[in-house]
Amino acid sequence: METNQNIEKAIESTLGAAKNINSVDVPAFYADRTMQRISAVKNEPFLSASVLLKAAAVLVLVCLNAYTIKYVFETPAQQTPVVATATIDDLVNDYQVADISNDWLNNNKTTSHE
Amino acid sequence: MPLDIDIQALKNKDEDAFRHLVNTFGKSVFNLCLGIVPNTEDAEDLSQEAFVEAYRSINTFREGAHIKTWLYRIAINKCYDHLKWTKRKKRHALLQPLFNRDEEPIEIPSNFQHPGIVLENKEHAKVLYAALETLPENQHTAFLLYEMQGMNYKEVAETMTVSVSSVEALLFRARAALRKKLHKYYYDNTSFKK
Repeated sequence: METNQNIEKAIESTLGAAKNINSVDVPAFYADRTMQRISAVKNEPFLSASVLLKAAAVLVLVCLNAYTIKYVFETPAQQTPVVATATIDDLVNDYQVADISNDWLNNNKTTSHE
Repeated sequence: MPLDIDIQALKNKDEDAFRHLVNTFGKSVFNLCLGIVPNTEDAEDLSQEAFVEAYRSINTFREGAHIKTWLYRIAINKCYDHLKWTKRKKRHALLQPLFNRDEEPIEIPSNFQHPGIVLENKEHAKVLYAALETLPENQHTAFLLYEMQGMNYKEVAETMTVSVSSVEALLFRARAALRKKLHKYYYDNTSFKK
């Protein structure tokens, strides 16, 4: 109970702090420094280096995309059709280990479960 | 035009007109920035950036609008950009947007330096500023302009380009969220535990 009352009191004090903030004067030479910054903007070139760099980057990306799209549409599809002609013999020939032959496999296929 | 600001001269990028603008609104824009970023150096830098931005984009300023609220909007955006940038630099910042903002803990800033806060009020003000940073931007802005800058509902609405009823709703939500966050903060604070 006491804790809640303390918390409520702290909350009220914290919210009340908003009303007790005094207005502050600007630092010395504030206007002069601001005008210096404005003058710097006034004198900066229309196209600054960073703007030119960004434009160049965008241009490179656009060219790259255009080239890729052109390449994709102009290159004919050259895919070889996949034909399922492989047999168990081809598999054995491709993967046979040492002296194990197709005949040996066929001979042992029937006897292995006996 | 109020306060004798020559908009046409500003649009012609007349330096004397801009110096007059800085002299007229420099203090209020600086204090506004201090309200969001409680550090003198950062607030000075950001408020000056706001004037530079105003110089760059003065031609987008709509005739008949209030130059003060327009400047305030620029300054507020600059300050929130700065806050986002500083938060991104912290650890796990990339993961934070994935979680509910309500759960974001109050972190007391280490570089708190607000000359407008008296010493006895400083600890509470630190906690308040830290809690405000965890609110959504529109609630933070409404609270800042109304409670700390002393604007009325109409002025807050003009600055935020929302209706007066929206400002009332934002303030209600901001106060409720602040109470909830502060309660958690003070409850977690060991000095309040038995």
